[in-house]
Amino acid sequence: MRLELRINGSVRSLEVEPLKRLLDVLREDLILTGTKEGCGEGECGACAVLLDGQLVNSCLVAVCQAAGASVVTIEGLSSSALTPLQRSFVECGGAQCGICTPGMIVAGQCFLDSGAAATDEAVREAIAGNLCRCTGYTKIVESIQHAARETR
Amino acid sequence: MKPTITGQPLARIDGHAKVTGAARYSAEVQISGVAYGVLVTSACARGRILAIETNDAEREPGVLAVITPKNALRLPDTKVPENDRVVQVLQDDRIVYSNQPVALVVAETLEGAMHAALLVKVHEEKEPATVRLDDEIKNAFEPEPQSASGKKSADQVRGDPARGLREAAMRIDETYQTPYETHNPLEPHATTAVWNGPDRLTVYDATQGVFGVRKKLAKMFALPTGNVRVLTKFVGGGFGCKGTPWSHVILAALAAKQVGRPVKLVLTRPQMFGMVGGRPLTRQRLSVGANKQGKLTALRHESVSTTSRFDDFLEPAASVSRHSYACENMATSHRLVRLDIATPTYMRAPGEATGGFALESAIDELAHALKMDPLALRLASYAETDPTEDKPFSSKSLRKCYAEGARRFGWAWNKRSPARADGMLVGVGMATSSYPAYFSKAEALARMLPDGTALVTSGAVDLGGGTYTVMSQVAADAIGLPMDRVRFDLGDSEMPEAPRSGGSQTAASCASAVLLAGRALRDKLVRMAVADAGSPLLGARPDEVLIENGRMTANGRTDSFADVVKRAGGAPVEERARAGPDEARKKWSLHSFGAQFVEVLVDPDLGHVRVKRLVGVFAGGRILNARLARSQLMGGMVWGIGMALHEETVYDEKIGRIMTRDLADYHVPAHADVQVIEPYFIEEEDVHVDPAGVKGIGEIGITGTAAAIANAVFNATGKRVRSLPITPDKLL
Amino acid sequence: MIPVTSVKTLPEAYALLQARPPGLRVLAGGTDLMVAINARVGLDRIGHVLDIWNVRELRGIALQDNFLRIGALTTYTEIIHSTLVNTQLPALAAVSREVGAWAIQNRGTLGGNVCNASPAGDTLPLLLAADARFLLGGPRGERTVVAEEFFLAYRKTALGADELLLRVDFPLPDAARLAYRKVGTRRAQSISKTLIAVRATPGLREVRIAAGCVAPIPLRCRRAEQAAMSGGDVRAALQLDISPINDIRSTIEYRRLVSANVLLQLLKNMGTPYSLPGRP
Repeated sequence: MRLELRINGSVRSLEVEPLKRLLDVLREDLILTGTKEGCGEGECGACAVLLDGQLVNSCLVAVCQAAGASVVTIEGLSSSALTPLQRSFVECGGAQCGICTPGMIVAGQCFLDSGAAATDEAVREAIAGNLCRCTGYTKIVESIQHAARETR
Repeated sequence: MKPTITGQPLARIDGHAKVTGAARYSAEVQISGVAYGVLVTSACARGRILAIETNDAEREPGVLAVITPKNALRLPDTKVPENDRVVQVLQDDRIVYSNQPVALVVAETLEGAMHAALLVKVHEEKEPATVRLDDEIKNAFEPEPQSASGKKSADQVRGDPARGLREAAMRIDETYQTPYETHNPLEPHATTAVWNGPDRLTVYDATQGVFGVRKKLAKMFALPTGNVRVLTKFVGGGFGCKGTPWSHVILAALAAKQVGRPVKLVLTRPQMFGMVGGRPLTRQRLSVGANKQGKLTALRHESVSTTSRFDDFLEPAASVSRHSYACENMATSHRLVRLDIATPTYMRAPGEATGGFALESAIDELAHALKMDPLALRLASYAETDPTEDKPFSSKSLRKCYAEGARRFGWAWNKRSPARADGMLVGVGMATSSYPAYFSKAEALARMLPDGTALVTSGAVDLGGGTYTVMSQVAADAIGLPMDRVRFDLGDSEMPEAPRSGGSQTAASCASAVLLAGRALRDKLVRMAVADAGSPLLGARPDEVLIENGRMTANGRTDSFADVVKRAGGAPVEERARAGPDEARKKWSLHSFGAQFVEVLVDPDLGHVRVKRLVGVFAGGRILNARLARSQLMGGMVWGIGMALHEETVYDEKIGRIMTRDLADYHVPAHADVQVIEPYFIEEEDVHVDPAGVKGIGEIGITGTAAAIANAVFNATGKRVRSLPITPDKLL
Repeated sequence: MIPVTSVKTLPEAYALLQARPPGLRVLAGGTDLMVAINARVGLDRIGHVLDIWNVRELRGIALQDNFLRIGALTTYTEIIHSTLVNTQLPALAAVSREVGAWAIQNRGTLGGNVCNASPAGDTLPLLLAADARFLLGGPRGERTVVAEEFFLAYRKTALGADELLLRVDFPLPDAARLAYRKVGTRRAQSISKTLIAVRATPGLREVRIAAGCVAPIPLRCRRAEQAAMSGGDVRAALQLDISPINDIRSTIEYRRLVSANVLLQLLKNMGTPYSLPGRP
């Protein structure tokens, strides 16, 4: 099918299979490889993107369901300078091997945008769907809390 | 010159690329004309491929080939290099484990290949298979010495363990088991293979070592080693499963040759269960005796672990007992049992993670039997020298680790904590951590460019631990430049050779080579300056030249690296250096040590265990970057939580198939499983271990953790769980 | 490749349902169906996909005629943030927070959980305990089925091949309290090992108990209800209701013991005298 997506602010027109995963459209068709695949079943959150402003696992979104929608990936979060959250991930050691990082940052940005108080518990709930095999999580939570302090 | 940058807790220099999504991993390298490969794998655990129906798949638009054992290119050589894993690459019709590659579909698009793979029908002739240790334990055998155990023999005896046990005031004789586990780095294995002509191959591979991949590909395709180039700039975690090239790496190259196109092959998460190794199951018997004061009189550690029918991987679980405690009478042994499983492999702290669980649980049991503080019992048999090899330790700060850990944790063993108001049971436990300090031959090239910046290369990889960053730090100090004027590059087999990133040896090996190369370059530049008629330093003695920020100063006159290079014609000035273990190193027993203390909460209604606080104090030689090292240790400690409470690769024993084949059923720790994790260091100056003074900290964090948690669970509940993981059903 | 029909209105959906293409599967938020498609599981049985994600009339939460009415396509996130749910049926908001994590809650729907009919479906015991009714609709018209009569056998429901689930209606608990507990394989983002839901009036005069993961279907536990109302042995009665199996997530013994522990805990928290054996 032919469809249009608004990706990181620019409209892209594509000819794709309707059940193709949004994840594969991003990574293979649009070469936006910042969005990662970790599990293919919504367990790990490495493929998290914003779909019409909402956090989704792009491996579970059939691209036909994203027709006409706006998609923001890790590449679209920052323009020239890093966002406060991205800076925090670098400074606080939230990124290690880097595969979970884009999904963590997209989910973390959702949390920051929600305006909720960045308590340990609230942050951990917000990123409960994002697995990391390297850091042991603590520094990821610290990164989000640090960004919350910086931006609020 | 004092190092000023090495040791600083700098943020990782690849951080920017990782937080913006710009870092390109092996599946993301853009190659024009690339085709997509998707594997079809076996159902049964042992048997033969009778037939594979490929017509439906081949008819799909965009399908380039359906490669099966019938039509696959014959490899010139199917033998693998020494110390490498045997692979299944469509050269015969045998099925030797479930989830083995039996066909490879190559198509123009990923979804086309995935769809066609579904249309491939495999007819298998099943043969009786067993994946149960008990069925085959009667055929346990003594393995050949392997590199995984440092080429040590499987059995070692010292003194008279039987007598030591007889004469003990208290004995523990128990069997412990650790389950199959699967590494599950978050990045799936991925290989892109490109042939440039009939005998030149370039491969982008998610690997822990580009040279091992090059060697295996060159051997199996009978190519000169120099004709194969392997690259990996970013790796999304490895933990051992990317340590050796598995079947899919060879198959990607085979397919690319067969279809005459570059081929990209990415494993699915379920395909990472079996095909790329995992931790084997271990069953370990510990017989430990002590006198009334808690001094060990005997320590016997017998380990049986599983391997495949076609390859030997030994989990050196009993090795940890050879170095841990002072004891006159010791015996350790390893046996292997063949089952119809895929070959296991190194997984974070092979040997020490599994063996440490058994040993440190048994020590705790002994302490409780003697009504003694488990920490005091450990101190009563503190090994001042290596008890098996009769060698001094190159450095050992375990006593400090115990003391510092106990202080920070507030260790008090003999109080059984009362249940909390909400009914939760509370328990504390501790254990010793240790891991050998490995050091392998490594080379580095340091090059001064005319603009006064340096490019330093070594073909290591960065699994996320921070190789890019710490090597830049070491290079900056060695050469005498600020960080922003040094670039360190890695992950290319055209670079000087570095060892595989495994066994926590990258920092030690690669940093030593970078240090030597950097110093050699600096010295060369100084020599050039003092001999250069155009240099203000002409005639100065090299040893009176001071270097800072790329400037050389002597007798109040200065010159710069950039000017030296320019005056010499502008071609980069370079030095290459090699580091590696020498004879003198063999005089020492070389290990990192640590101590972990843990508080757990146990829900008596549900049997759930929660690790409330985990404190670890580790001594791993020199710490090159405390910020990154802390991350490594935290990650290791959380792996220990996973090992203790969650992780298990479960087989369907009737059909020999892994049932926990995804991240929904194979539970790696998640955010909610982690509360307070506190890693600390004891800094050590160790001049014997390697030029960089580094022992490595990638693995020690997971050692001892599971035992500390099991010991705390015992303290909370009175239940001793000797078989990991400690799932809730074992506590009710 | 599987054909997909994406619709925006019920009449469009019904038109396709009327044609009854073989192997028709309904796609809502994709948190179950896309997992199966990605895993290539049962793909050969999927002949056609009806994508209803954009059917707006199936969304929304309203209070009407003493029923809390929740459209089948209402997501967990919408439920979690709904003032109506949080005031009228807080247990439903709470259970929704335990389904996966944010990204799943943004896509997963109440209707999807019902129609997927997994014995481990997180909301299902609560729907049974709350006496929810399901409004089904199709080209032949609409009908209501009570939750208890909806789940027929393992993953088999009363939903006809040409029907969609349109709405879930909850009779509002007057004096009754509704509570549940999920025991997962880990603390978050987990698959359940056992799920218990209880609706009870003060003094346990009226009690409804339901359980998940302990039978081929989400289960109403009538014997346990009787025991709870008559002051009998709830623990023993529950054992007669449930028939758990061993699987990779848990064991029969664990599920039996913990289901009873959790049920007694829930009843106790509702102000009843049941005590928990085994507590120190």
